[in-house]
Amino acid sequence: MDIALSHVSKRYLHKVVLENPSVAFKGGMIHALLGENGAGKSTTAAILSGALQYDKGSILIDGNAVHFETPRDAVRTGIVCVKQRPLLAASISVMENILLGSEYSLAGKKLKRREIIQEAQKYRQKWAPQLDFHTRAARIGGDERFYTSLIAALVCKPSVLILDEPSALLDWEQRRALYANIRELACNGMNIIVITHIMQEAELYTDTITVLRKGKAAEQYEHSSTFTTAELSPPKKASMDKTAVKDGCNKIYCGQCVRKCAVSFSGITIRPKKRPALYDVSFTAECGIITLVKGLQESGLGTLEDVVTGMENTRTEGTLTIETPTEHLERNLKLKKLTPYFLRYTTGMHTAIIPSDRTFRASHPDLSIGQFLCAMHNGMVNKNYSDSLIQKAGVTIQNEEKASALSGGMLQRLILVRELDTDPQYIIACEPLQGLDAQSSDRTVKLLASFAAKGCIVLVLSSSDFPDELCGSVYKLTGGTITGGRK
Amino acid sequence: MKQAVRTTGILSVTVGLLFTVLLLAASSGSIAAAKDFLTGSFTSLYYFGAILNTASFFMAAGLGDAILLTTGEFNLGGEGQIYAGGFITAVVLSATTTLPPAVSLICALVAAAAVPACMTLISGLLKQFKNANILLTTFLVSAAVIPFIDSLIAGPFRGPYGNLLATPFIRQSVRFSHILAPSPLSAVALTLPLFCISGGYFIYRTRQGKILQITGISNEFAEYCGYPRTKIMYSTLIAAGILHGLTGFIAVTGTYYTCHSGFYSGLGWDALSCSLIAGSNPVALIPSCLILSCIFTSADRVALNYNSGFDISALIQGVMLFCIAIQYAGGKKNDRHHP
Repeated sequence: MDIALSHVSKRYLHKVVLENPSVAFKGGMIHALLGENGAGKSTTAAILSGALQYDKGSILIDGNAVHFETPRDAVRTGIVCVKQRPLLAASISVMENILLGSEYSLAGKKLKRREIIQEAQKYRQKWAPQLDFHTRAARIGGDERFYTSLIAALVCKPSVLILDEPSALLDWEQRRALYANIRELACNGMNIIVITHIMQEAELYTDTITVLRKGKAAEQYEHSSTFTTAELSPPKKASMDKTAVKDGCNKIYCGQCVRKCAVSFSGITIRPKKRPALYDVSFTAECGIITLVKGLQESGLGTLEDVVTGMENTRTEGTLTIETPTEHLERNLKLKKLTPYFLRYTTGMHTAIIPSDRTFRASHPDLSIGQFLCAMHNGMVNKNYSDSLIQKAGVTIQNEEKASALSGGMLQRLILVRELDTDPQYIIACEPLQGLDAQSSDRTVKLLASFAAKGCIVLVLSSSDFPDELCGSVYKLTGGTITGGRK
Repeated sequence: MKQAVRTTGILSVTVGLLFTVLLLAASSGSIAAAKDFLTGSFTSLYYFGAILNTASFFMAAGLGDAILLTTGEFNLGGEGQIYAGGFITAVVLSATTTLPPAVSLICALVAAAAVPACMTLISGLLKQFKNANILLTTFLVSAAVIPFIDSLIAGPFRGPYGNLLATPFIRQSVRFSHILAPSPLSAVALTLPLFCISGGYFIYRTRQGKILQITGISNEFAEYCGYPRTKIMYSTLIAAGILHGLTGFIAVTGTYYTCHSGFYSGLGWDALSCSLIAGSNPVALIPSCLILSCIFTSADRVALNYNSGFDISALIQGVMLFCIAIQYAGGKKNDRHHP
């Protein structure tokens, strides 16, 4: 099935997201839709999948104009979208989530419950064998949320499958497997549109590339190989003084003492029921350098994130030691739970926490921008304060709008600005480059490095992307245990 | 969302009114009943005072519900909490006849606030240690307390009034006088709008209010922000209990002067309806309580005058809650924004 958007426009109260672009996607191929944060990629996906109404223009399927009132209309036509931030019902199981809304397949033919379950089992075996269908959705990680949403989409047997930032929640191995599988679907005639920021991924795995620029114009490359990364606002290489970051603490917080500020986790052991365990994990994040913990979700990176950010509810063994020029704090995690409250307020370090789950942990779609930005600010929601943060982040949004109005990249930028505005001495950044375009990624890396250079403790947890060469300490998390240390 | 709340309130009240008019016209067989429903209460001083008095009960209890609703929790045990507050007020006032009236009233007020607060505290403890749903536990605790109080009123605390199942009447010196005779409206009832305005100021104009609102939108985000979630849960539950107890206190000291069996009937649910219609906004609670009180009082008046049955109030309440539920679900569904 061929699908196209013809001169489509979409305007919100305070901004124009799409201004007249025309794009076409042929069946039996994998198409990449590229663009910077806020270019209108997710809006395009939402329009194609019936989740959003456009103001002008038309959607063409095999040359015929169609109109979708709801996503259900699109599903009946054979178009399904797997969103960047899949919204699942938290209190029901993965399987029940798949069953929700899967009753319609291509051309509106109703699927029976048994058929859906059989299909889902089949896809799970191939795409995500680790996914437990009986687990409650509230207990699953980001990658599992993606696979749940993907399987729910696949059981509808779509002709057009739209994947909005599929790599954002997956590690390299998972990405390779994903693209191998979607290639197979494309060979069987499915039209697959992948929205991504990762240009290498687009070049490697897709057939055509479409670039959106600020929603105004679209360029299409019939062969991905003809597209070079330089075409899309070239990323500047990190230009900060690497040696300064790697070796030097500029002693803003350390006074005269070299490396006196440090956060150490020692002997962290935790065995959550449904998530990977950690065994005797110990590492130290020192001031003046970026400490990177690399690993995969299945190696326990998600569990470690919950532990270090204070969001873990399972009983944890181990000790947290915080050394500052004025204080020595030691907390036995078995006796007293680590909480974000402790990290942010008790330690006096104004800890900045950037979690990997931007949508439901670092924000919430129902929060107003004012609430979202002023949540940790003293006093009431302050328009001037939130406007200043919006300006710093370079995002076009109004104070009264909802957080759901933000694209993934914009959300990440605002979270970074909000967290780093409190003059933190300790920064925990989990997957900080996730969902960011090349320029924003570069900016974020520089920003974290500059904080490290100022003497902050910067701890980065990342499954991919984060440049090792800028980090003073690199740890590797494998199978729940950690290796590595200061370079 | 604010728009959705406004629509919910207006639609629920409109449907409730229409339903009542139609029901009254149908049950009494004449338009006169429906007409009397709409205008009758305003021609009688007694009913006008009764409207204001009932609205004050709704405001006190509704404010408790609104505070809890702001944090995303429901208190379904309002009836038992009001009953407990009223009962303990009557008991304390009867037991402290030797004390000066002011001291006696203060003791009664403290007790009336403390007992329902303990009831909600049980729900808080069950939530913290057993992860039990507050909506369910508040209801269950209330369901357990009501028959217990009934048995106390029928037994050791029963007054010497023949067939009347009630505690002894409180002495004259601790009664708040009725200010719109012959209506049951007491002077203390007029202070309740001030409570609502203060509640509105607290929720929308203070940092603590902001924290409550954010907690109500997302618990996970609230925890991530470092908000003391356990403290928030206990403080809002206790506030809800205290305000429901206060409702019982006002009812006994200002209206009935005794705690009679079942005086709470419908109050808790009506207050919750008011709170939902007001979108848990304490200031919007004032008009919503006045309107609902007007509907229920007028329905009772018509039931009495036209012999159409007192169950009509329960039916109206049911229809309104139904509309709120439908609109609430619809509002949530339509409250989707662009990605």
